[in-house]
This record gives sequence, C-alpha cells and structure tokens, in this order.
Amino acid sequence: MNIECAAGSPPIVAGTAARLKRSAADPKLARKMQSMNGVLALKSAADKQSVTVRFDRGNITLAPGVASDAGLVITLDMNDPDAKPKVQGALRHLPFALAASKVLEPPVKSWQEEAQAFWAFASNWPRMPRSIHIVSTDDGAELHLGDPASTDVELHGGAKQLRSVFNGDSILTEDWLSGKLHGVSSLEHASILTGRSIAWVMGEGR
Amino acid sequence: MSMTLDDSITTVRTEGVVPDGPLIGKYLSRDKFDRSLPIGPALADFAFAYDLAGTPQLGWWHDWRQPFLGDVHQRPDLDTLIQIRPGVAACLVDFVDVEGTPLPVCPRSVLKAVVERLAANGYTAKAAFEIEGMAFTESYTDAKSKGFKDLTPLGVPQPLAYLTHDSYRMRPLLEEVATRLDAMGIGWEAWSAEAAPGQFEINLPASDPVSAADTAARVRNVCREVAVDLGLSVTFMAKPTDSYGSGMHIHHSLLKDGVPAFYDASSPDRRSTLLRHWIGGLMATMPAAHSFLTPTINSYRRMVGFAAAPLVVSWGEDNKSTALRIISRSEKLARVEHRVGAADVNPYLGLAAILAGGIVGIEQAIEPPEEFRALAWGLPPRFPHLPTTITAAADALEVDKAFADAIGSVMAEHWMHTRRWEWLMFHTTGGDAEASTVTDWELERYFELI
Repeated sequence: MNIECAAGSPPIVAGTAARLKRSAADPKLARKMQSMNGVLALKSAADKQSVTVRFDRGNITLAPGVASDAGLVITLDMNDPDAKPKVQGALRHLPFALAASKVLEPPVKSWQEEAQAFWAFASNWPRMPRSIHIVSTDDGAELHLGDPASTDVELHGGAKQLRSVFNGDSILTEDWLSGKLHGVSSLEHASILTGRSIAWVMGEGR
Repeated sequence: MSMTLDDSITTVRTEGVVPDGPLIGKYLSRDKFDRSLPIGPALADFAFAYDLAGTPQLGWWHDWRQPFLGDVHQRPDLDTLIQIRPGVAACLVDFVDVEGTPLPVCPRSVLKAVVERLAANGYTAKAAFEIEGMAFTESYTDAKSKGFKDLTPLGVPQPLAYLTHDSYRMRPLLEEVATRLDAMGIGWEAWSAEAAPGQFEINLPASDPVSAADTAARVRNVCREVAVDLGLSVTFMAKPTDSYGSGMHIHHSLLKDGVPAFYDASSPDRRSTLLRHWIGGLMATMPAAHSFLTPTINSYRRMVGFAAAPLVVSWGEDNKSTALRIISRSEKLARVEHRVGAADVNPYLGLAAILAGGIVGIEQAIEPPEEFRALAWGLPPRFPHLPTTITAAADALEVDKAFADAIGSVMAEHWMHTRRWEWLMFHTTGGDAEASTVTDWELERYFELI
C-alpha cells in the first residue's frame, strides 16, 4: 500500500491522507483499498478546500483541487462531522463509491485507545504536559496518561468527542474553545497540545 | 523627532508595532502617561499571540509568554515623543515584560539587538525606506462593505508612473500626509504616483536603522489616518488588485567611525571587502530573510516577473531586476538597495532581517557569488529562485541557524510558526488555494490591518 501526497500539502490533503493511512492499518480495509481503482474528490461545503484522491490498486495519490476526471465528488460540511455528505457520481460508480465510503471512515477504537495512541505520539514533544487526566462525562470513566504523580491537564467530555480529538478527526483546542470539551490547563500546555493535535490531524506520526 | 511635553499636551498615544505589522497602543491621559513611566502602560500579552483575524495563535510556546493570560507593557521611548495634534502627543514604545525586559519578539527590540550586534562588529548603519501603497476613493467603511473589491483608485488609472498630473489627482491625500508629517517633525523626501491604479510611493530620508523603521511605521499610520479623515482608504497590501504590486525597497549602508564603509576608491570595482562580505551574507541568508520580507499569503502574489519584484537570489551593480541593487559609483552614494521587501513588510523586522543577513556575511567573511549581469526575470530553473510560498520561506528560515542566531533565535522560531499558522488559516478559514489572483480572504484579512 502506498499513500502519497506532496510535502507541504494543504490541510485537507494531508488530513485525508492521514485518514486513509488509518484505514490502511485495518487488514479488511487495506484489502479493499488494494482493489480500488478510480478517482474521487472531496470538497468542503464550508470553504474552498478540496482534494482529489486517485486509487490505482494500492497506489493512492492525493493532490489539491477537484480533478476534472473525478468520477465521484463528495461535498462535506467540515464543521459538522454529523452532517450527511452530498455525493455526485455515486450511481455511475456504485462499487467504487461504496468502497470509498468505507475507506474514508477509518475504524474507530475506544476513546481510551485513541487517547493512548495520541499520547504515544505526542508525549515526548518539548513542553508537553507531564500528564493528562481524561474524564468521560458519559459514564465517568477516567484515564490518566503520563506521570502518575501529577495532573498537568484535565480534559472532560463525551466519549464521542474525546474519540474525535484523540483519533485525529478534530483539533483539541477548537473543541475546547467551542465548548465541546472542558478542561483545566495552562495556556502553555493548551498551546503545545494544540500544536500536536494539528500535527496528528495532518498525519504526523501515522 | 524628540520633544518635551509642554502643558498643552493632555493626551499621549502609545504606538508599538507587533510582529504582523499593525501599530497598536492606547490613548493615555497626560497624568496616566507620566505615572506609567518608565515601564509604560500594560496591555494583554495576547496582543502578541493573536493573528490578524483575532484568532489566538496556538501550537508553540516560548518563555516570554506567561502560562496564563497576562500583561506586557509598552515602554515609551521618550526620544520619539511628537505632537500629532493640538493637545495630543504620540510616543513609540518597546514591548517589555512586567519586569521591564524587552520581549524577544518585539520587532523594535529585535531591530535594536541586531543594531547592537552590528556595533559589536565595529559598524553603524544608515537605512532608508521606500513606501508604496494604494489609495481608493471609498472610505474604509464603504470599502469593507464591498469586500475591498472593485474599489475606485484615487487618481485616474494610467499605464505610467511619475505622471505629475496624476500625482496632482492624488494631492488631497498625499499633500495632507506631507503637511502632517512636517507638523510632526517626521522627515520625508518625495512622493509620486506610481504605475498601478491608485498606487503611490513615499521616499523617506536615511537615518539610523531604528529611527528609519520608526519613521516608516509612522508614515504608514499617518497615511491611514489621513485616509480616515478624508473618507478615503489606503492599503499597504503587496497585491490588493490585479495590477502591479507594491513593494518596500530598503536602502542601507554601513559606516565605520562615521565614514562610509561600503566604498573603496582603491578597488577596481570601488567595492570594499566589507561590502563584498555583506553581499555574501545577504545572498546566503536571502531565502530565510525572505520569510520576513514577504510576510503574508498576499506578498507572494507580487512575485511576478518583469514587474519590479525580484524572483531570484541575485545581486548586480545598479541592476533593478536583481534582489540586491548595489550602488558603488561614489563614496557618497555607496549603498545596497534591498528590493525583495513587499509593501506589507513589518519595517522593523524587514530591516532587522536584512542587517542580520549582512552580519552573517561579515562575521563569516562570506564571498558573494558572481555578480548577475543580465535581466533577472524570466530565468530558467537553474538559477536560485526565491521561495514562492509562505511555507517554503518558513522552511528556509527554519534551517538557517546562522541567520536565526543573528536576528534572534526566539524571534526566528516564533516567526516561522506564525507564518505556518498563516498558511493553515488561509486553507482552513476560507482562502482559495486554487485562485491565481487576490482572494476575498486576503482582502478581508490584510487590506486595513497591514
């Protein structure tokens, strides 16, 4: 499996590549990706971002923009992950569209597993907090990552939102500033966590 | 430019330039201003951590920031006190922390530190700015309501620069600017209409680097204020329209013990060894310095061949197509005109970047590449082209450790992050990456604030 985009690609390109890499880590989806052949484009309904993804039986390349030969064009509301995407070309390219819908939605793990993966990626970065204490407001489940003797940062949120942040679907501070998550942190730690969260979304460490 | 506050002054405005370029400050009662000395009035340290859209810049950290929201101070430089209106004075400031230590990301302090390093090498510098901008007949309010698009240029669009009758049409704005500058005691040398519709240039006199940047910052602000008063609008964006872009050429020379140091009458080319090394440093560090000299997404739209903006790392004697125009024909005129800067450059950081590059050259005795003796536009790829995107320039800045050391490593790192942030915001908050001309996003973000 080869998933490639140019260095310095725009966020939607790098982020989509990261999602595909997450899917490729799943054996079943990886097999599906090996068999896919076609071109799709993702467009943001909220702004001008777009990416074209070319599937060529395991060689997957991504580039900015909507290519004229994209058989499938999917328009997404980037600000609302629950919004239903608009899809053009699905009827004409039904098997490809069905496969694409699967590989563009990487399998999700528990928020605890996703948080541990994020921590493994980010914890050694300079100025990172020594520890994060995470609380699910759904069921009170807790997870303490890092130095057990300290709690530099606390995060509270529903399991779905925690999973979204830690699996790289959303950016930690955006969710904090918008009230989707609550937290206790210094500005320094919030800033550094944001940097790592952006890098995670953009595929660093994948 | 200095004055003593007399009894008629009731208000003092503090003025300090933040990294992105806006001049910020407070209007203080005379009593409050006096009591605030020496450290000056406080403002939230987020003034240094918001982008031009008011979004907090997050993702990195330096020790000058407080771990929670805190204050920084605007320490007045009393040598810069001027009267700007009856009863109102203005004073430029350095941004300092609560203990009075200059912030390592304060543009004016960064330039001062670079000047000190130059002095440690035995030299002083003189610098002069050429300011370009564009003026429109719409007020800022009306311009904003039109999305800063399809505005009416002040004057009548002409295909030529310097037309005196077109300059005459721009007189309401620019004569008033000149009148106010005279009244404030701020020097200026010349102004004229330029080639793009509504475009003008103001030439400022040479002085020590900090004073030169002070003057550039103030003159741009006076232009904006006159525009406000006259119901016009002015922008210092590098490319606000599809016509020629606007630049900020920065002339500079070095002196040793007060004597011009770039000129050597005994040399066949009349260039001193110092100038050779200075050029060598400017050339070696130009990709990194480019990040400071073309600071915004919009800056890069100005980089068009055969339209005045340099595109390649190059230098030449009296060559206005190269990045560095060297003038060596007499001791009196000997100088470097650095032509890379876009109009939206922060004058303090732009000049600091140039001087830092030159310092690297003299400290490492860098020999320059061969002089470029041709038109430096439309060249094939084998020539070393300047970075063409804000992220490519940030990447060049990240790897040039000698340059970063000369301009200040904290400033260099902070700037690199802010430029990548600017790129991220462009892509994720409505910028059109496919657009070949100025976008709505750029106009909204930069037109009034840059």
